[in-house]
This record gives sequence, C-alpha cells and structure tokens, in this order.
Amino acid sequence: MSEMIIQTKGLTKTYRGRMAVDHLDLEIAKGDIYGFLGPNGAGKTTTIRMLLGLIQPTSGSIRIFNRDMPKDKLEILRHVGSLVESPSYYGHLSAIDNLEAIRRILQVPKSRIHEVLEIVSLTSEARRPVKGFSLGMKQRLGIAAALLGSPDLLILDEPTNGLDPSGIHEIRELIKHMPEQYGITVLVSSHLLGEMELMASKVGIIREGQLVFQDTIDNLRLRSTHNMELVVSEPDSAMWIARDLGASGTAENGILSFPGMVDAQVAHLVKRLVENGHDIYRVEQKKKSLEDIFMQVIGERGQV
Amino acid sequence: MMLRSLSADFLKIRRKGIWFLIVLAPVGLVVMQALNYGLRFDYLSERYADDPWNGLLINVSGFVPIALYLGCTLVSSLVANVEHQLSSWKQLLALPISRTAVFSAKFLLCFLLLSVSCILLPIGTVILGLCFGFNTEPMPYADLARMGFYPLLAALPLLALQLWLSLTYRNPFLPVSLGVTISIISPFTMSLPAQFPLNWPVFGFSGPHREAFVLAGLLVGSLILLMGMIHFNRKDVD
Repeated sequence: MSEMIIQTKGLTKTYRGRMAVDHLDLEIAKGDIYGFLGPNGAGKTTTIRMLLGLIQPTSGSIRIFNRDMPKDKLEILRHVGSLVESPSYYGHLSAIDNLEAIRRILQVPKSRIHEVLEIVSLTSEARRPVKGFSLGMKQRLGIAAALLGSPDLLILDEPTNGLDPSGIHEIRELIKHMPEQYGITVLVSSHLLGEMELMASKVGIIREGQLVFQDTIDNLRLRSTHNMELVVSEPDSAMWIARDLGASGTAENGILSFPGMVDAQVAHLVKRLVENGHDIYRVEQKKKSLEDIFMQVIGERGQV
Repeated sequence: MMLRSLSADFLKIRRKGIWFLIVLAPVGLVVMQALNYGLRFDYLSERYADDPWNGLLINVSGFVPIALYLGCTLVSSLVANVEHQLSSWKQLLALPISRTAVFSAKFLLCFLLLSVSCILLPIGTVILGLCFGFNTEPMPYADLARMGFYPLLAALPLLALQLWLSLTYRNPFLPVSLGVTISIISPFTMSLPAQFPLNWPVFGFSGPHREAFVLAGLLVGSLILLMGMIHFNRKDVD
C-alpha cells in the first residue's frame, strides 16, 4: 500500500438535520488521480470544502499528509492547490495581477507566475483583464492559481463544468500529466463518469452523502454484468422454453435478453431451441458501458 | 501574515473606484465650505474675526461625522464586495493564511483608506484657509490633526460593525442601508446625551472630554472587531 495523502474517517456534515455527507471514508494514495463522482447534490462539493477547511465537519476526522485537518490547517494548505466550483477571480485585474494577489499571500518567487501561466498556456493573454476571458481560460487561470504554490496535492471541484468539448479536453490533458510531470496527487470531482474514465486511476462514487464505491476504474468495470441477447424466429414460445430451463430474462422487440447468463446455460438453451425447431438468427453478448455501471452503482435511472 | 494579505488587498482594490471615493470625500467637504464662505464671506469673517481658523474648523468639522459614517459604510462594502463579487472567498480562505489575518487585513485596509481621507481633509482645509487669506500665524496644527483623527477613532465601532456585516452578507443591501440610515439620523441624535455612540465622533473633536470619547471608540471598536473576527473564524464558507 502506498503512502496515503488524504484519509477521512466517518466524515459527516449535517445541515439542519439533513445528512449532506454521511460517514465518508476516503482513501487517496500518493500519485493517484482520484475521480470523485456522484450526481449533482450528492455531497461532493461539501466534502471538498471540508477537506479544504472552508467548512467544519459535524463529525469524523480528516488526515491530509498525515496531519489532522482542522488542527494543522495552515501547514496542510501550504501544500494544497484548489479550485472549487466556478472560477474565483478578480475580473478587473489581469491574469498576472490575479496571480500576484495570491502570490503575495503564498510568498513564492515572482517567476512562478510565468511558470504556471506557461503550464496552462495563458502566457499570451496574461495582461488582459480577466473579465474578458472565455470560461475555459478562466478555468485554466484557476488551475494556474492552484499550481502557484507548487502543491503536492491538487483538489479540483468540477473543473470542466460548463466547458465546451475542446475546453474539457484541454483541462483533462492538463490534469492527466500532473502526477508524472510534477509528482502531484490529484483529487478531481465530476458528475460525468465518461470524463473520469479518461483520466482517473481510482474512483470514489458518492450517492446521497454516502460512498457507494471506491476502487480502481478497472475494478469498476469488473462489476459489470453482461447481457446475453438472442434473436430468434418465435420469441414468445422461445421465452417459455428458456423459463423451463430456469433462465430469467426479458423479451423486448423480439429480442430475448438474459442478464448474467453463463456459457453452459447459453449452450443448453441454444440446443433446446434448435431441438424445438426455432430458427436462431443471432446470439450476442452485450457488455454494459461504464456509464451503465455508474447508473447501476448510484442506483437511479434517468439523468445524471 | 496579515501584512501579506494586506498587500494583496491593496492590489485587489485597484480600479474599483475606492481610491476615487477616498479623495472625493475630503475634497467634497472642503468645496462645501468654499461655497459656504463664498456665499457669505463677510458675515462669517466678521463672526469669527478673532479666530478665523477656528471658525473654519468648526464649519468643516460639522460635516465630518456624517461623512465618516458614510465612508465607513461604503469603504467596507466595496472592500467586501471585491471578494463577494465572484465568490473569491473559497479561493482566498483555502490559501495557507489564517482567517484572523484575512479579517484584520481587511479592517486595517479600511482604516488606512479612511486615514488617507482624514489626512487630506486638514490639508484641504489649510489650503482653503490660505485662499481666504487667513494669517499663517498662528496655524492651529494640533486642532487640524485632531479634526483628522479623533472623529475617525471615535467612529471605529461603526467601521468594525460595517465591515463585519459586509463580510458576512453577500448582499450589500442590509449593511449599506443600515450605514446610510445611521449617517442620516446622526445629526439628529445630538439631542441625546453625549454618551450615545453616534455622538462620539462629534464630541471626540469638540468637547471637554474628547480623549474619553476617542478612548471609548477604540475600546468598543476593538470589542466589535474581536466579535466579528471570532464569527468570521468559525463560519462556513460557501
């Protein structure tokens, strides 16, 4: 087990009796890109705000870099860069001045400003007032601000929210290179699994304040149950035969589908269907997409 | 740590119209007196014939408390708004800096800004007096400096309160309307005893016990500042 960067135990936040975050046990190891997933309102932002010491937990403990969060707040924050939800910036100031305002507090060398602008490729726009920036540029400026203090841990809350596909791509590429190039561990939240799939090494899925899954993306895939689909000449009577054999499934638009059917069962079923004079047009295995698994894990149908 | 935050704050208030306001207030007060004297110069110079400087000071200082109250309100609100506008609190307070330092820096910023006004006012007053041809000897330096700073110190409770409210409420309506109301009613509270807090800046300048009022302002101001700081330290940031 590699070194833990963030570890929470029983982290809970209640607002007027409602559990916004319910006994969360997060484990984020050094070098991870940890995708923190969940539908809107599941408690992602609340959790992140607690990690940053912006709000106080109702109960539970937070350890970051093996230090206690509220107690050693300033020492921890010195090594953390963050971007929480919508970009925070001072619109009347240029990108350089925005970073300068933060630099004065962090007390890092002035050269860092140009370095971070270079990383997020904003050097050419650095002197324009930020209010004229596109959302993607503002978001990149936010990441530049988060990187200014040369952090060991980057906490990004919904960094791609509201961006167009090319903006999303840019941010994703930026984040992907953080661990290998700068040795930075990244916690990034999102409500879109597809986005995480492309960059995260580990995911935590939160639903109604509770952590319902925490493991690698690959292990999330293994959770999937595949469907065996059969297209036959007479689906209704074929279904009866399948039920006789003890297979449970559904028939829809003439397609019989059997969740989680194993090879032996498939062979048996096909044999019986042929014996009973059915024509079998297709037998195919339908893999569930990661998005389906995600929906299955968060246990709700419809929009995410 | 507070000084770091303060230097960042000075950067953030650039081009926000705050400096304009800071210069406008004392210039405005001096221009008002220029008008006052211009309209009835003979009457006023006859009335204050034995001490023209003191006469001018009395006239200028009459408007200092109301200007101070408005100043405290607007400066706090503008300073707080710099952070509220694009919810920069979450970024600022996630930096390795204590909230106490952030809060004190904001207070110090407001105090320094108002001090600039309070330095400009006596300077403007002197220029106006010289324009009227008042004798340069004796120049009431002590009274001029007192006019600049005693009312400000006596008004610190309001500054602390306004800053606290402005930093707490995202919507500036409540703190600003409270501050403006206070400014408007302040001339009418003169009928109440001198101990009434809104009267402190007046009696901090002209009264037999002015030091007592200044001291009261400092004490109560610090107390409110401390309460605001404790609250700011504990509150959840969203």
